[in-house]
Amino acid sequence: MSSGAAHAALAASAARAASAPVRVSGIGFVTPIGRTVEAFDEALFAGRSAVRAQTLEIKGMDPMLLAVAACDFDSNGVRSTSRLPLDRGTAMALAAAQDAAGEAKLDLDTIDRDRLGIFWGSGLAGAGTFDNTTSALYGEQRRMRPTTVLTVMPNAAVAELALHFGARGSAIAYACACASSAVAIGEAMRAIRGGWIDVAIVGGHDAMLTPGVMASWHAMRVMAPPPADAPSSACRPFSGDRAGFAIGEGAAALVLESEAHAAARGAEAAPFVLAGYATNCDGTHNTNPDAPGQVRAMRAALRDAGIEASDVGHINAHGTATSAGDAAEAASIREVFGNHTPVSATKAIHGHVLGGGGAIELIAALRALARETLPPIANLQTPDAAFDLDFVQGEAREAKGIRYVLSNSFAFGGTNAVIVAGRAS
Amino acid sequence: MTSSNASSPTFNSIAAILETDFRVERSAISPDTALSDLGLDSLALMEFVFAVEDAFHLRIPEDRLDPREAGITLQRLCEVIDTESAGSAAAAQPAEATA
Repeated sequence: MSSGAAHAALAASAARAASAPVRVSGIGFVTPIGRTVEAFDEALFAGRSAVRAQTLEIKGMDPMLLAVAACDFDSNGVRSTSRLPLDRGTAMALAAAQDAAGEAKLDLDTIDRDRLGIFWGSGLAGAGTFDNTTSALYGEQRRMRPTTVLTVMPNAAVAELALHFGARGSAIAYACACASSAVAIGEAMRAIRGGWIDVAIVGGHDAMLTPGVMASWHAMRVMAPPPADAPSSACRPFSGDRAGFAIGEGAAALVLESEAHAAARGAEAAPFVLAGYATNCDGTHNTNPDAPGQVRAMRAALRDAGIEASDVGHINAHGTATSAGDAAEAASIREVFGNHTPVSATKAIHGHVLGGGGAIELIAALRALARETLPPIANLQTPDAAFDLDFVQGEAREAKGIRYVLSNSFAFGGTNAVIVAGRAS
Repeated sequence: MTSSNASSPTFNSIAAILETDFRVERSAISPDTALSDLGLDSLALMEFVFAVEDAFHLRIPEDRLDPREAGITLQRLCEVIDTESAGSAAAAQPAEATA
């Protein structure tokens, strides 16, 4: 082979690897709508919301009525390798990741852990622990625990995950608010495609249901007031009367793996692959979303997957149910996809899980792919008249033959992340 | 009752903290067990001593018990607790561990 031909072959090989699908070998999650696929599916496809009303009482302040989606989860039941006290979110991360690794049947004794990476997102990481401990410090003069810093640092969960799995490849925390776990997942895809690692445990979490953190969200005026007669309908994505989101908590994890590595370890066939990913930044405003930035991100993710917009059979929107957020996303989806691609928005049922949201919502999209059924947007009675999209309303919708799904995550700070998933061939 | 006894309230309290909060197997916990043999690293040992102090409402002076020092046993820890809390009702009624 001439050197020119060799270079061309190498370039072609690199290009194939750079766009190769990455296997989803396992999933695991702790969410307000359940910890098992059965429970998750049941709520997802029925559009049954876990959002409840909670009154937050802080001395000297008017009571705050909040819409909250909490997990039925006992963090004391989670065993950490470090034996250190865990932030609730880190405990959720460990539980979700252990479930994902279990489903993937990862044998840690035989895989090359130099090539096992942890890519994990969180928006506020240990804010809940910091809130509780500083409250006790100032209020009750209770001293700080010796390892408080290790519990609240942004990579607290990454550290525990790396320790638990003995990961010796990349172990990186991604902090870009609502897009944190989507970015973590996408960057792991790139690391696997680039040949830097073979396997990654990816995802994200946030556990923010402590008084100071909830009061912070409330102060921002982005949280929906829970209606007295139907608190679970507080979050109404794309509705004409939408009023913001419900704050959630949870974690979701996926095991990503190259096809070659899965074949070499004799892994069972996986049903899904991640086909495309893109991230960019609006570069325009901290919180006000920019439709052109979202359009660029979605188009780049489609290009990365090597597919057309018409190949996508379902979009799980970011869908925060804020006035500006849904308006920008409705416009950007309309521009990229027209009005024929069905759109769901699952924050209505599991709340806004911030750093865990992208991973949970990707899993919701994977479940739609698995069941060939699209989840309804809960609480959506009358879509905003300005939005010209095909919203999945009322009941779940059959989607036989669906091949690709797309999940959007758009963050404070302007970070956009879009993931395209498909069936394993 | 002295704290060197494996059934003393002090020993039982610290054993419960080790078992519940630090996931140390009960079979690995005896008065003769050295802190360094509990399977806890230096960070976890710090948290353990912290939890013990909270449970017994006392502060163990660093010169009495450096958890990084090898050879200190749980029996020795019990003795320090009993000495530090002598005359205090708290010793007989340890609070629930809060770690």
